Amino acid sequence: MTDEVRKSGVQFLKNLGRHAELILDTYLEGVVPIAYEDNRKIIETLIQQQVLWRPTEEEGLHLTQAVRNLLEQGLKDERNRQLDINVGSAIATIKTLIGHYKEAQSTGNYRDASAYLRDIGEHVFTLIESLRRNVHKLWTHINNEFGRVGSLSAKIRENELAQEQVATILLGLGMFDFKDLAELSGANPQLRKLLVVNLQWEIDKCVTELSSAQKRLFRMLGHFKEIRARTALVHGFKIFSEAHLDYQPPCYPEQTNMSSLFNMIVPFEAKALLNTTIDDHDAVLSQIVQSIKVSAVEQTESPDRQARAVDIFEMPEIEIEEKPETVAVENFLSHVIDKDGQKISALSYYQMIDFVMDEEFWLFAVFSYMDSMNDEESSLFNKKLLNNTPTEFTGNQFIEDIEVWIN
Amino acid sequence: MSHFADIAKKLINGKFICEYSYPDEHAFLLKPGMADEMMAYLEKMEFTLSTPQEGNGFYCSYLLPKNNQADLKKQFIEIISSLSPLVNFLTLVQQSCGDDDIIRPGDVMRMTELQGVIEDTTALSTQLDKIVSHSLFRSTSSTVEGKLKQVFNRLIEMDYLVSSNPAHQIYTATSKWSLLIDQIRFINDTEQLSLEKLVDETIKQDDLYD
Repeated sequence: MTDEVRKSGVQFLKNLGRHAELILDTYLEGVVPIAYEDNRKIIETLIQQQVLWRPTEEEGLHLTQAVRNLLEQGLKDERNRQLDINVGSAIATIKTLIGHYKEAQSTGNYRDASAYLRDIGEHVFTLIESLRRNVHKLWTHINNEFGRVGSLSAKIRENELAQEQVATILLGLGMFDFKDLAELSGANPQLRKLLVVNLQWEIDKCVTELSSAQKRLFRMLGHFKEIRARTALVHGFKIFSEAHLDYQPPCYPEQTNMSSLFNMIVPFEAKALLNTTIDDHDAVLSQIVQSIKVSAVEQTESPDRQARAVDIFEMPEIEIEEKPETVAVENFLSHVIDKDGQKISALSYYQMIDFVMDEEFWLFAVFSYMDSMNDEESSLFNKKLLNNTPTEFTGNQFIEDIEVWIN
Repeated sequence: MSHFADIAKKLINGKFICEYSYPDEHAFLLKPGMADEMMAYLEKMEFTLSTPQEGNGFYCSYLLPKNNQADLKKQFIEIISSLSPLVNFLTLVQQSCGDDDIIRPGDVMRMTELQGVIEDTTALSTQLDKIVSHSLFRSTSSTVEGKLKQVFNRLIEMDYLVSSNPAHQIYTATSKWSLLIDQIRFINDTEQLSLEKLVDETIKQDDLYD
C-alpha cells in the first residue's frame, strides 16, 4: 500500500514538473492560456489529477486551490492577501481525532492508534503553520500600509476586512480550552507534547501577536479615515468655491465669542516705504539714489540668452517683389535713355504702355520714384513738373504732366 | 535683543511660530512656563497667544476682539479670499505627487519635481495658471518655473513654507496648514456646508457621465 502511494505520488510530482510551464502560465494568467489548448491529452491528465478544474462550462480552466496555494507559498507571492480564518473547524477536527485515538488505544488497537496520532500531529502542525502564515501576512499588510491596493478607500476596505478576519481568528482561538486539551491528553506523553506544549505555546504567541496587530490595524484605520476626512474637506471646499465664486461666510469678527481661528492681528510693523510726495526730501533722496552702486547684475539663465549656432548657408533667400508701378517707371526712364535723353512727357509714355492704373496714379508713381532716387541717379535726369494754371485763387496747383530728359 | 523680546516681536509682526517655521523660537516657547510668560507679556498690550486646534504652533491674537473689529474684519476678508487659492495649491501638490493625503506640517517638497510633473500634465499646468491668476499669488511669468517660484515665495512670506535647502529648492511645510484646515473645518461646521459629501456627489455625477 505504502509503496503504491509512494509510486503514484512520485509520478504525480513528476507530472507537475513536466508541465511546470503550463501550470505557472496558468497561475500567472488565471486560466490556461490559449497557446496550450491544443495539448488536450496533457490537460485531461491534469484535470484528472485535480491540478486543473473548470468551474463552469463557459469558464476557462483554472488551477485548483491546493496547487495555487503551493505556488503562492513557494513564490512568496503577496497576491494571496486574505487570511485563513477557519480555525474553528481545525480545532473540531483535532478534537474528533483525539476521540478516535483514545478509543483505539483503550481497545488495544495500537496500529490504528498510532495512525490517529500521526494524523493529530499533522493537523496540529498544519494549524500552527497556518496561524504563523496568517500573522506574517497581516504584518506584511500593516508594514506596507496595504500598499497593494491603490486608493485610500480600498485601503480602508482592506483594513476593515483584515480587522474582521483577525477578530474571527481570535474568536476561533478562544475556543481552545487548554484545560480540556490537558484532560484529553491525560497521561499520554506524546499527546501532551503535541497539544499542550507545541500547540498551546504557539497559540499563546499567535494571540499576543494578533492582538497587537489588531491594535495597529485599528490605529491605522483611524489614520486612513482622518486622511480621508481631511482630503474630502479640502476637495469639497474646492468644489464648493468653484460653484460659489463670491461665497462669503458671515463676518465672524462681528459675532460675540469669535473663534480664535480667525483672530489674527494686523502685523504691527508696517513695511518701511519712502514718501516721494514730499518735495523737501527730493535732494536727499536723489543723493541716496546716486550713491547706490550696483555691484553686479545677476543675470538669470534664460534659453534665449544662450549661444546658438547659426547656419549661414541655410538662410532663406529673401525675394523682393517689385511692384508693377516701380517696374513701369524704371522702363520709362530706360526709354528716356534709349531716346538719347530727349525730353519725354510721362503722359505720352503712358499712352504707349499698357498700364492698368489711372493717369493720376501713374504720375504719382513717376514723381515719387524720381523723388526717392539717390543723388547720383537724380543728377542724371532732369524733370519738370507741368502744373496747371489755377483759374480760381485757391492756391492749389495740380501736376498735369512730368517731363523727363537727360542733360 | 533677548530671545524673549525677539519672539514677542515676531508674534506682534503677525508671524506664525511652529517647529518648522521658527524651530528655535518654538522650542523656547515650549519650555515650561514660557508660553504663559509670553501670554502675560502680550496681554499687557491687549494681545494674546493662540494655537491651532490641529497640530502645534503659536500666533498672536487680539485679547479683546470687540475693540479691534475694524482690523479683524480686514484680516477676515483677507483670510477668506485666500482660502480658495491656498486650497487649489493643496490639491495641485496632492495630484502632482499622487498622494492620498494633502500637505501635512513637516512634509518636504521639491520644487523641481513638482515643476517636472506640472510641465508634463496639461490639467495641472492649467490649475497652476488658475492659482497665479489670483491676487494672492499674482504672477506674470510665462513659465511653470516662474509661476511656481512666485507661489513658493508668497507661501514663505505667509509662513506656510520654509526654504529648508535653497540650493536644491527644497521646502518644508509648516503647521500653518493645520490652521488653514481648522479654518475650513470651522466654516464647514458652522455654516453646515457638508463639504465632505460634495466630493462623493461629484464622483457619482462623474460616474453618470462616464
